[in-house]
Amino acid sequence: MPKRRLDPLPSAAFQILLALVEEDQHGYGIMRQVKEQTGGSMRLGPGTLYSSIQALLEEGLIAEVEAKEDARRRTYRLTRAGHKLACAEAERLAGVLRVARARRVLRGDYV
Amino acid sequence: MSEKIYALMLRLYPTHFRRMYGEEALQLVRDRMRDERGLWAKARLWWDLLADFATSAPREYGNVPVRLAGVAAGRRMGGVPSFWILEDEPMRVGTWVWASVLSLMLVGTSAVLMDHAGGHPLGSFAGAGRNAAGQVQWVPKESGAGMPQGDSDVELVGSGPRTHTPGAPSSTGSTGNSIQVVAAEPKLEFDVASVKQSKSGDGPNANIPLGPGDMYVPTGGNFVAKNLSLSVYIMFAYKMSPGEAAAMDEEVPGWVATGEKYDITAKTDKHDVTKDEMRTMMQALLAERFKLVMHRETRQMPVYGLVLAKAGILGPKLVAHLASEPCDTALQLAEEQKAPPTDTVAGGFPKVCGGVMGLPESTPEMTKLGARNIHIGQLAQVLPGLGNLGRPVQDQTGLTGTYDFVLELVPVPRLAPTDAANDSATNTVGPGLEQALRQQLGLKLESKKSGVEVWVVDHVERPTQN
Repeated sequence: MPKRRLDPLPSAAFQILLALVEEDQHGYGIMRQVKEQTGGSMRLGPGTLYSSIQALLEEGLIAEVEAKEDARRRTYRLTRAGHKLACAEAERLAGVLRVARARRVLRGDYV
Repeated sequence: MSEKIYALMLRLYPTHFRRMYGEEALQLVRDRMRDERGLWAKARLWWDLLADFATSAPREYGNVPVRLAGVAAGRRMGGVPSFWILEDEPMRVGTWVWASVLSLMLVGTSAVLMDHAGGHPLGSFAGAGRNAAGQVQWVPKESGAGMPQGDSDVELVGSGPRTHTPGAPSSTGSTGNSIQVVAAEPKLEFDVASVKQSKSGDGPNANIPLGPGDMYVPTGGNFVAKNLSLSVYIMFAYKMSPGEAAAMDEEVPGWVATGEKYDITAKTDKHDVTKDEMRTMMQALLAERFKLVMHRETRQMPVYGLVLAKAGILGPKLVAHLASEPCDTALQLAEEQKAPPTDTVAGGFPKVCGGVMGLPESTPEMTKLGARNIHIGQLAQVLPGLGNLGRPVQDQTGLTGTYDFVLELVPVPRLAPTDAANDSATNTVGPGLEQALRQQLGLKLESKKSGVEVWVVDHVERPTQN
């Protein structure tokens, strides 16, 4: 069997899910949103971006929708399953942060 | 321009990716180029694109699209290995042509490089026996002279020390790492051997000289020795000098050193067996019958350094050996004599080469030794026994090559190193060791402390039944 590309969920795929939480986006919009929400630390290149999008589409975590503004661009929307997975991943990371803070590995009020 | 370059880079992605997202990716790059202006922004854009290309393009070849994976799964039979289908269209004619041209160029270039690298032709692989750096050498196993007989196994020997197969082409003149496939040499062992404790009371004797020298009597593969301590057999097997054997004797059980005598009779079907091969066979025999385990280690101890008395000057009885002179190490023992012949050549040196041997002395009080074609280290090995020095002698003359010598002296037991200065005063019938060394060979002994390699017996048992 080909290796499952989203198990565990790569950070790029998780950021794409987060970028689509508020509104539908096309590829370039997703890239800018990810850059903004990570403070510029993650700049998705075309290869990584569309490879992740393809994996998310195949798993049914996002869906392609008809574009409202520019018909030439493909636009993507977060599905219910994608939203559920994004919440679960965020919970998992929050748990990790709580442990890190309890162990004094992480200082400050991050969560 | 930048857009065209990225379009070319996109061609290196799998077809399914290009078809699905090629135009989108190109549009994304256009958008970024439009929005990110300035030299720094452009540089960062290209850094991003190149880093993204380096990581995502190889990964994309490992991703099988669900559509194609489904097709492949339908064709797979349970448990039967098969390929995943990565492309759903046959390659174009142009692709086939390019692939053929590139393959031919690659094969041609590799052949030319292999043929000319280091000046060693490819032919050396096919049994020519040449051993070039980085080449693989096949040494065929033959049953010719000097080649081991027996099974036809081969073993792969990696880089490192050269493996020399007797009778096979030499591997000299090469440097660097190499891999050799050589015929496996059978383990050197006697074919039959008998070990028993001596009960006869005869004097000690052996059919070949058991010392560390190369003097040897061809015996047709027979080894016969009687009434000798295990220590002597060990000394023979491991080519120990008398000093090394004496040092070992101090640490082994008494029955090994002198307490018990053994008769060993052994035979090998290798009729042209050399002395060193017989030593190796004796090692195997001792390991098997006496469970002998040994190791070598370096210890700091008082020694005598054998040095030139005057720099650059040899004594009258020490001369460099001339390679042109006939030199035979095979000692022909007279059957009735049971002792080495003492024929000499011009200069009073012994006729036989390769080991230190006794010569007819001038007076009964004296001892005369000589040798031809030996290293100074071999001379140093016999000196502790001559002068009862009580410590090893190390060759520190710096003399290389081989030498001939004759040394005649009165072997006076020595109690302490300071006795060396009194040799000439106390010996009225002839020179002592130090005086003889200085006057005849131009050498002297210097007391010092140094690292000495010694043999250590880790384990030994009384022999098992034959």
